[in-house]
Amino acid sequence: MTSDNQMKLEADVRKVRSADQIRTYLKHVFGDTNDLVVVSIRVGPYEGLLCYLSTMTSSDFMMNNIIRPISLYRMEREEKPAAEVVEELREQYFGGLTGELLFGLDELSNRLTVGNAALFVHHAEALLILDVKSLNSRSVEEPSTQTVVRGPKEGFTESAQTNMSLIRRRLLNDKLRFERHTVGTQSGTSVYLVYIEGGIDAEVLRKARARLSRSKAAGLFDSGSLEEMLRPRTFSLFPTVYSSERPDAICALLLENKMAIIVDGSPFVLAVPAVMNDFFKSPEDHYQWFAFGTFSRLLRYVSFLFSLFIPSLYVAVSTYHQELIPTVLLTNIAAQREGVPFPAVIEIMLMEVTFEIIREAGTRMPRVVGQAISIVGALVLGQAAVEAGIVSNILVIVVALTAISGFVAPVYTFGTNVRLLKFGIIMLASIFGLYGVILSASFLLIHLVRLESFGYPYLSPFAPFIKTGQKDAFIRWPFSIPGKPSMGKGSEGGSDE
Amino acid sequence: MNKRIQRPLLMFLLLSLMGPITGCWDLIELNNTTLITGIAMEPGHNGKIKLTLETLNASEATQKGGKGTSPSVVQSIEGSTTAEAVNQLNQSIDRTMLISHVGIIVFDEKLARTGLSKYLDPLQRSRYIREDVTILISHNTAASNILKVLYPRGEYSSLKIREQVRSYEKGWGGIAASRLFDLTQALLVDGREPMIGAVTLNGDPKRSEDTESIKSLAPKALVNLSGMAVFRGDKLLGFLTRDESRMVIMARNELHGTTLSVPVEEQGKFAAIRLLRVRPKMQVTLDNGKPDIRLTVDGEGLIYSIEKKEHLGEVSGYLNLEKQASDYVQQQLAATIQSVQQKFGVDIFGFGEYMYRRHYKEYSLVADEWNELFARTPVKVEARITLLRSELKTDQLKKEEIGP
Repeated sequence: MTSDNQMKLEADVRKVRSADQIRTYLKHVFGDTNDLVVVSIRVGPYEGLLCYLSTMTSSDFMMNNIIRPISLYRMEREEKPAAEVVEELREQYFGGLTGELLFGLDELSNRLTVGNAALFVHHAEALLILDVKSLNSRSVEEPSTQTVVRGPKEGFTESAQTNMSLIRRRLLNDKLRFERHTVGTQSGTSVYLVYIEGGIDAEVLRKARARLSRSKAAGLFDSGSLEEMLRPRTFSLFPTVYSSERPDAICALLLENKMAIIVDGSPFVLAVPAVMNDFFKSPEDHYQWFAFGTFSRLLRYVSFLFSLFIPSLYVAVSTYHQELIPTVLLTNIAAQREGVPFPAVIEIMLMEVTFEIIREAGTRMPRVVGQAISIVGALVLGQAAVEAGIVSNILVIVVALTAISGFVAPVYTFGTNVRLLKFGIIMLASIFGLYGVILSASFLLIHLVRLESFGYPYLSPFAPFIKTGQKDAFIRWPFSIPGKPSMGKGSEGGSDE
Repeated sequence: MNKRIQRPLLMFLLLSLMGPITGCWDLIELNNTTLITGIAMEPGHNGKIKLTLETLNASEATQKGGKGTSPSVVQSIEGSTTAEAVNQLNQSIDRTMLISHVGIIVFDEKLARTGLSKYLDPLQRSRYIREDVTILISHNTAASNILKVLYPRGEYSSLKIREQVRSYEKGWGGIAASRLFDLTQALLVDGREPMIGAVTLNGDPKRSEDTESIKSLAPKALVNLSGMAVFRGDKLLGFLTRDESRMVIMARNELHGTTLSVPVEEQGKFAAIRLLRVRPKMQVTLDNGKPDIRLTVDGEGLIYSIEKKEHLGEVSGYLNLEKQASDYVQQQLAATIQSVQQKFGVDIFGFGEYMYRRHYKEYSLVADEWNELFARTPVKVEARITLLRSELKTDQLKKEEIGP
């Protein structure tokens, strides 16, 4: 298109004049896209033009809510100015749909892409914009991660509307707010900040808004990508953003004065600020008898330590500190190591990497061939490797215990990230022995103490110690309902921004 | 350079500096090493020390078992010092040694008579040797023979002896806990001389070395615990019998429980009393340099068996039995103390320690001659045994008589 034409068009779009002008404009913006529908339609005595994107709505919806009311209007014809016709249509015929008037064309393309329809009536000088978005989405199903035995079985879906309603119906509270933002220069994905007015820390809200507006990403297809934008700049393997498929978990966090973030198109809803303790909580803790809730929570902490330190402790103790193992056990280990050709560290790395391959394959491979994994994994790599004398029996136990412990964390991302740390600790243990293990534990502790999520210390309520927070930390106190704020505010301007 | 890169880079460089500081050269792979599980020391030729080490054959020593070869390899070596001899062992054995799991250390009685100090020093000094390693003295046999006796349960001899000492100490009390730690303590403490458990060999050591020997129902040789060895300082004086050892241990308040056979009035008949709790109480005073030593033992026990007809349904039956048990313990204790005084003339009971702790000033005057003082002083012993119950039966079972 020549610059002459361009200028003419730009001058044109500020005012709506004719159907032809609209047609030219749409042709210019959308080109030849197949899903653009521009149809002439008679509105009462006037010629009209209806345009929308067929991919953002359904023909059923259009028929019932737009075409039929317009045709009904034609029946009771009466001479009226066009502007009045449009007004009448908006008020009486499209009552349920939010309709607004657009006097220029420059906004039109944006409106069409988010699922609106535009109705133009000759001589009216305004476009009637109608929300006709009607998309198919998955129905509410049981979440595939964070499963519970007892508790609600509803999970978030890909539709932000559904997700918001899942939250709203649990919190019948007039202070609940959904705040819409758009992220993605190309995708224009809707992102909703969810919080309870009055409870939420204004600072958290400000930071979240700032980070969303700072984002220059072209597209956003899952909350996972957003999570990365929300994380602090300091490198950390520990997630500082909570994510869950469970509305009840998110609602509990909202009551703790945290903020949830819904990304349209992702069934995983985020919550910030997230402290370490949040990743060890399962909503089920509160639906069960407190003693068992406490037990399983302690179990999670223990298995977190297991998954981090068991392999490195094995390496350190069996290659440097044999005096720490009871004689009879050492005899057993020594007997099994007899004839294993590799040093302990190579042996354990071999098996850990093998396990990671099995895990990765199990995640990626088509469901139909899933059975092969268990056969190859358990029989060939486990049993046969021991019988062939490549690895020792005790090592298979160590690797299996580590692997199983790694999956105990209720939030999957927590377990996966921490898994990487394990390899570093094994290497340190193989070079320095127990000293290396203690060293890495100290590094880890220092790192965790320094880490902050939106200004809140990652280790609260343990460090800083907050007495009220202890009721829902290591111990799930009886009668403690979910949703009591349990974090302490950290130092101003920490590692966060 | 960019600040953002600078810090992590510096961190990395500092961390990599730690690499050469410590580490890998202490690395020991389990499949290149063997555990030393037992050490026996005896005099060698030309004033050297002969060290016999039991090294583990790990795959045979586990319960799953291997090819049926012996669970341990016993090798002797001579050296001027213990440490040198241990490190020289690879003359005849393939792998590097791990000494941290040594379970028992047996000293030959000949060696012990010359003084243990110089042999204990490397043990106490080493950070690898645990303080709870069991120390024993071989009695009437060479120390090395003790390690050469196999046992049918697939155990190597040191593990078997260790378990044996522990069980015997708990069940009958014929041997005191004689760990390295106890020995060190006894050597340092004032007013109590050390005692170490004694082992002896019953049977033919030549035949017991063979793995075939443990395939028979009755092992050809067995290591026996024969009581305690009595020391003055670090020098061996002699041995106590098992019965004497038990009484000494009772007086020292180290008894976990024992079973007494108390003679009753009728000739040749006994009542078995299981002692559960024994609380000895010492009382020592010095009067013008003349010690007055009293020992009171309170005990509680159960009746395990009675060979004569005693009516336990009545209080008098219990009282009668209690009296006999008390008399028996009193008489045994007195005899043991007397025998120790006459045979060895050293205070292994800790009467001096009692003085040292409670009447330090008075004791310090006689500390040097305490053993002699003790040997001359008659000890007044008293025992009070209380019987709690008589297991499941009150009286012996007997048939009711028929008829009016």
